Amino acid sequence: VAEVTYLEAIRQAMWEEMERDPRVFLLGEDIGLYGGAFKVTKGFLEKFGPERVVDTPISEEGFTGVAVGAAYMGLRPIVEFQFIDFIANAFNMITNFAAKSRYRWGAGVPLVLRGPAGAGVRGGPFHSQSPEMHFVHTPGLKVVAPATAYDAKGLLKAAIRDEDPVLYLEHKFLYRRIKEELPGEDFVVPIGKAALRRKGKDIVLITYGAMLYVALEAARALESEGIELTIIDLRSLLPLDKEMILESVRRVNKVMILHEDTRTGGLAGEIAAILAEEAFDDLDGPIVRVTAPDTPVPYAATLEDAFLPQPADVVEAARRLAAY
Amino acid sequence: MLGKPQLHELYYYLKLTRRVEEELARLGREGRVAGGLYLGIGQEAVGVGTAYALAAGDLLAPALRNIGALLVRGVRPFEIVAHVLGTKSGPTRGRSGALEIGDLARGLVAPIGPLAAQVAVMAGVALAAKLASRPQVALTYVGDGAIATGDFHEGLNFAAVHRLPLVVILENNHYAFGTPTSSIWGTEDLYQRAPGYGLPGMPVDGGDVLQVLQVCGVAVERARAGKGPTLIEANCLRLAGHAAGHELAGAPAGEPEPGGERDPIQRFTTFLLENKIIQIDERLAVDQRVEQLVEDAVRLAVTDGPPPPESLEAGVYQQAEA
Repeated sequence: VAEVTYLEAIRQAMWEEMERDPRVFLLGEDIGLYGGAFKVTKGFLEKFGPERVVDTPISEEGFTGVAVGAAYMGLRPIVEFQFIDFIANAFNMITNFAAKSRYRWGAGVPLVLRGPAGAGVRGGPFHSQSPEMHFVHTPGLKVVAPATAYDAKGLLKAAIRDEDPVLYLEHKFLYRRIKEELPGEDFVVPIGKAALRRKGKDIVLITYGAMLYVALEAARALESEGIELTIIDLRSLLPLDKEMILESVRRVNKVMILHEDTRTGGLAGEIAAILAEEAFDDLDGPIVRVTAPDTPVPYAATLEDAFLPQPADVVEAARRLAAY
Repeated sequence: MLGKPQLHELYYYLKLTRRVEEELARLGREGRVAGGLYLGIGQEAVGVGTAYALAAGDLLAPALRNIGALLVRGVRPFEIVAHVLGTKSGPTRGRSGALEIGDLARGLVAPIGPLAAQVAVMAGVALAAKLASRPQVALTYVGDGAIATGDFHEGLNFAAVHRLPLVVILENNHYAFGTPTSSIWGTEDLYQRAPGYGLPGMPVDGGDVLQVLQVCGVAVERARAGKGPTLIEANCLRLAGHAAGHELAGAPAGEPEPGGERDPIQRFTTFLLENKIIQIDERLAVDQRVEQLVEDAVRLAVTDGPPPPESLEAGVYQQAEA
């Protein structure tokens, strides 16, 4: 079995779901004739035709609204944002129309919103963002962020089959940098379930997205110092797998949370609050956050590298926490 | 050509719309309305005439002042009163206000607060109909205020590009919230925006229910025939403030009053009587039927009771199957 990249896993998920379910169709900028800015949808137009691979005007709010209307009529739209940063233009349609629809009048919106997120490719302030918390703070939405090719495929299939709107954040740094063998048969990764990536007795490190690899590298470095990390890859940011988080903290009593999103209002704060409320007696040290600082994502290499949490930042924070 | 039963029915819906809104205004003054009350008094011919042009199976999203459209599409007066009062048996069980009423089984899509968003959503509804080769038409409303948004532009442009079966009714009541349209638009003829999208734009006297119905009917048939969207500008009167209790800022002296000769219901009544399409006793019978319906609706809604606080958290997501 050939190894499959993270990007190819996304392609496969959409391709197979479109073959399986005639209600599934794609909407977005440059996804048809051009094949997508990152070529995620290359070959889809030829296979599925212009009715199911719809090139849109540059109008994120508009085509997201079109997708909401199509979902009302029983279709299963997948909306591609060329860069997830542009989702800001569709904020009203997602947070006001799609997210509140079921609660207000019982009309579910089975809709997938996907696009390349995250930094590390010198994309600058408008092609590098991690917009998850705008949406994690919106009841009615689900938010997922796969870190592996397996999860990229399984979570996207789960999102397409979900009855509620799902924001699917694919990390562009991982598109062609990671690969793995995938099962030949159909599989889904359930939304709301985290993955235990490593077991260690000293610190629970909770992370998601491309930061998983920063965490794993730091864990290898810390191993030689005798500090063992447990690593939880959240995969799903809304809903959170509280069960796995709390269960891990009952066994390992020091917690670090790592994300490339900025610090204030980041997911780490929410997780820290949950632990303070529900696992206070299990904690043997302060809850430590390793995050990007509260700045836009900068463009120049020196600045972006300083912005993104590095393995050395995790190692240093882990040493202090272990010694606490 | 419309027969007498249809003309009587139009009168019935116009009258019902006016009476429901008058009762809502009264309930508002009595402090029974949970939040804002946005009336379409003076604009009844637009909602009634456009919705009357649709066929069963078509889809409609109201905006802020289209109670008449909902009534024509089969929403009961009780549902509207209960919705505005925010009671437990209203269509959103106290969860949404204004005219945010939807029911896909009856072909109704609920708008959201920032109006014009539903233009893009109804373009999506129309897209789905087109993809499935179903002969359905989607119709929605925007005001002279909401067409300044990007939503209006993006939705209409998408519909134009894909030649979708969409009809957009631009209700120009000459006020955006409380600001006169002349202060926010550099042009008077807003329907003239349509040619910029490659679409027909048609002006209509929004106080003339028969003209509204006729022009909208042409647009609906055009949409159903696969010829794409139409923008209709209905020039109309707003005889009330943005919300109950608001003044009409900058309204010139001598603005028309409900019941006056420019009142669309008065106009249609005069037309029916002068042309002997309705007899005085027939008209009285319709009025009495309307009064009874409205009275029953108000009585039921007022005694319906509030949604229980325990219902607060249910239904944000699809519930997992037990």
